[in-house]
Amino acid sequence: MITVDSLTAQYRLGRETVTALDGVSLEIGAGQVFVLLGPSGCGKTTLLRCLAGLETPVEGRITIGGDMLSDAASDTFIAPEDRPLAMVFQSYAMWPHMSVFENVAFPLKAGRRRIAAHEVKARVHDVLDLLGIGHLADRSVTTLSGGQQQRVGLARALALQPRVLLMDEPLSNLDFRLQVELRSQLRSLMHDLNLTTVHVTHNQAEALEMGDRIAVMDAGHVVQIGDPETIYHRPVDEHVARFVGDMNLIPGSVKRWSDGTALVETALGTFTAMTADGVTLPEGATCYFGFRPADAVVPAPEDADPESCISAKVSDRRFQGDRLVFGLSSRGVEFEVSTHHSARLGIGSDLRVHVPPDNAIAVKPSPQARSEDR
Amino acid sequence: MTRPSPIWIVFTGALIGLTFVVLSLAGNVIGSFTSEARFDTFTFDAYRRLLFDPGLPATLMRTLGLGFGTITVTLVFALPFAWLLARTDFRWKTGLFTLMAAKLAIPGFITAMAYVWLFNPSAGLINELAGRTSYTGDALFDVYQLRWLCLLQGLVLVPGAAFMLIPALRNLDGSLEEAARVAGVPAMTTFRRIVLPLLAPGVLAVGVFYFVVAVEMFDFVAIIAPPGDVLVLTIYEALNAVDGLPDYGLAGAAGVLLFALSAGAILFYVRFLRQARKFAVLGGKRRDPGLVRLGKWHRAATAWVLVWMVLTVGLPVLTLIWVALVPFIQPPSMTAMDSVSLFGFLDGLAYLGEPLTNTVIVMAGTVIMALTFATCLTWVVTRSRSRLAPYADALVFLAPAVPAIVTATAFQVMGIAVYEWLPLYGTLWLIMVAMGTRMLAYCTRTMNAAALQIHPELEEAAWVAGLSRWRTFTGVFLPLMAPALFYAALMVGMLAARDLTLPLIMNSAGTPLVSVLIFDLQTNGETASAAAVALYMIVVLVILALTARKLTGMAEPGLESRS
Repeated sequence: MITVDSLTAQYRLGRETVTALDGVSLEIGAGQVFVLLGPSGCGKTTLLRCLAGLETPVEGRITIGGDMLSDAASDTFIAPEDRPLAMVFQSYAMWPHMSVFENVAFPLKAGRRRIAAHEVKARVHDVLDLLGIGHLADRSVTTLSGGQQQRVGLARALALQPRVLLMDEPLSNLDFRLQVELRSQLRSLMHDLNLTTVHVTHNQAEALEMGDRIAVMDAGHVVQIGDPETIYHRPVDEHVARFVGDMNLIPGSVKRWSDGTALVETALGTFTAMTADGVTLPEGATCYFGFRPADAVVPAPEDADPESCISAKVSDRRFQGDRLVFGLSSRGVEFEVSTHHSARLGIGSDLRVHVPPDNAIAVKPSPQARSEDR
Repeated sequence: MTRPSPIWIVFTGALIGLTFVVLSLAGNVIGSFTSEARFDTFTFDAYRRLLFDPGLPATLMRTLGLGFGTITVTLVFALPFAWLLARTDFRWKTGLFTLMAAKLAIPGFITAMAYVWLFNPSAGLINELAGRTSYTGDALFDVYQLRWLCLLQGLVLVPGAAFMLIPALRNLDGSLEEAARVAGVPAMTTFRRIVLPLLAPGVLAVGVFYFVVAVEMFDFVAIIAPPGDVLVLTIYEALNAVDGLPDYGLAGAAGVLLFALSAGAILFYVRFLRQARKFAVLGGKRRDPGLVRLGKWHRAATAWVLVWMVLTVGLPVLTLIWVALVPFIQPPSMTAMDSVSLFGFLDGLAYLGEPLTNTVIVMAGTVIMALTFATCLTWVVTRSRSRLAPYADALVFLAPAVPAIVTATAFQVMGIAVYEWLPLYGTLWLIMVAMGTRMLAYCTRTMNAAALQIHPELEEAAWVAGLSRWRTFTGVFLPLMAPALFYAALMVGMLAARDLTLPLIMNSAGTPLVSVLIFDLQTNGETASAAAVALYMIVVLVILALTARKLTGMAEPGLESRS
């Protein structure tokens, strides 16, 4: 549906030229919810704005459904208003001098994709009703709550019946409960409408819950693309591992690697761990042995393989409601495990935990240059 | 145990400042109820004469015409300029900024003088060049027209208006435009239906402010008196009656009418602002609007800037230089070239002595007075939480609506009223007090803005750490305000030096200022000397203006910045 090919975008910051996107390529299938995930400054919003036509890439191509939208080489650039897409803004971008109805109707009346005048009213009311805000039609947008404005923004986009919907951090200005509520609503709505969606967020929980596929970005590059499970369980490198969910990363070196399984030597011992598809770890290379605090079995069962167990002292204990997080310390290495809140362990007590190799991962360190860029 | 704090000094300063502001209007009102400068009578005579004058409706219409005509011309230039500077990739931004800052330093009456020399019907240089003066039949141009006043006033007000419009354009949330574009709305429609309505309050604010400025401006009317009165001229003529005493009653009554017109405009604007509040969008992260690429329109933009530059700077300054070089006004020709000499410049220098001293004294006095009281007022309004604060704020907000000519009349009347006890009438001191009062309002407005930028916690930290309010004021507030104070001092000094209205109205023999010297020289037909002194003045003021601009750095913050 959407192809992005070696896209490079820059912007001026004072006298400096900053490269926001550095040769990004990706493909997005029809009907997918595709999430761009990354820390602020990673280029995800710039990529979205390139798709919208709000930024002009200096290199590379963008096509949607085979139509060329932008090609730096041949100086092709379709203006934003002529692209078959719609966008929901982080600020909602409500036009304050118009009512809810007018905000949704204005592009249908005055835009390139205008429809017959007598159809406007029905179209607007249909989409407002779909989003459960039909009763707000005559209100001024400035009197609405954040959640309501967000829905009007979405209504305005959906009313255009776009081929592609772009969403720039649409939930980030809402309070936490509303965010969680809207995530599942949005996801099912996108699937019901079978709408190709590109969704930008820095919130990994939102990305995992909403995305069919996720692209994790860092410093203008796409680091990994995959479905949520793959991204979560098989990160390709340190950056993805750190950014998506909590993960213990214990420095070590590769002792042996073959076919998706690595043996990693660390200060705590030598462990077996998985590697992501497409990752190769040369023998002797520095790497991290990683596992998620929740994946460790606490305490280790009697019959667990001693090769994949770690003995440590409890140095910290944090109660988080549904679970307990223990800070552990062993041979100068600090890491965390989490367990059910009923566990009875005091600070200073000894503990043995089991890290099943299937739930452990070996990752390469992020390239120095990339993390320094930020 | 509390020790008495010297902070009362600040409150006293603020009160004195406010008293002067009140006097600048009250003196005029008191004057309007007197007859023949006698203060022991109370009469409506002046109002009767003013209101039953059959010429009044026409005068009012002309005054309104002057106001609307001027702001139309101003906006035709200021809106595109502000847009070019705030929202586009215009290549000559720095140049345009510098040009506009320098233009602020060319006094309006000098521009007016140059245009009289160029376009007066009997001997204007352009008319002579075209061979069509009123002596040869009909003149090509006749500068003594209301529309010329509108054009010239409008042109000189462009920099101030553009500087006021730039923040409004910069603060416009860029995502509102982007949302329209992405929703398929073409650029022009977006501009018409989204950008313009949202800019309306800002543009209206500038319009109202400059309407007030335009109807009270005396620089141009003093030099280019149009046929038929406008209100400022009514006041001036009442004070400079050909036969007999100044008519303070009539001047006062006309001043009250002029003030009512200004205050009405400002109140209308305040009401509109309250309405416009509902346009404010809640929450959400705003986005800096991106810069528009001008592309092929770049030439058109440059041309429009050049038109303004030629009309307001090029033409007047060239005219001044030419007129200063020749003994009497004549178009450039071979014979004229023979008579070129530096006589005007030398002669002007000879005249400068006393007026220059006087001007420097008035500048210094005005700066000291305006800054002292404005600092106190700013502190009271933004920091003290005193019950006085909202009243002080409101008064200072309305003070610019008091026309200069009204302030001048008011202090003249007060000067006469207290002459027996305090003989300030006819001295530099009274001019200084009047000018200081006028600048006080201007200073307080800019300094309040600066004070609000300084986080109150900086002072609270000192206060909580055991420093008295007075020590906090002198040790934290004043040093933090220093850049704003310095900038205000330069601007006030510049505005004081170039002002013609107050000295012209209040000047009695014996205390000429440079601005009045230029006016007198040109009235007496000593054009070469008048032009030479005007050029001296412009050079000094341009240096002041450019220094002030360099100091602030406010002129062009992050032209290409992008979050």
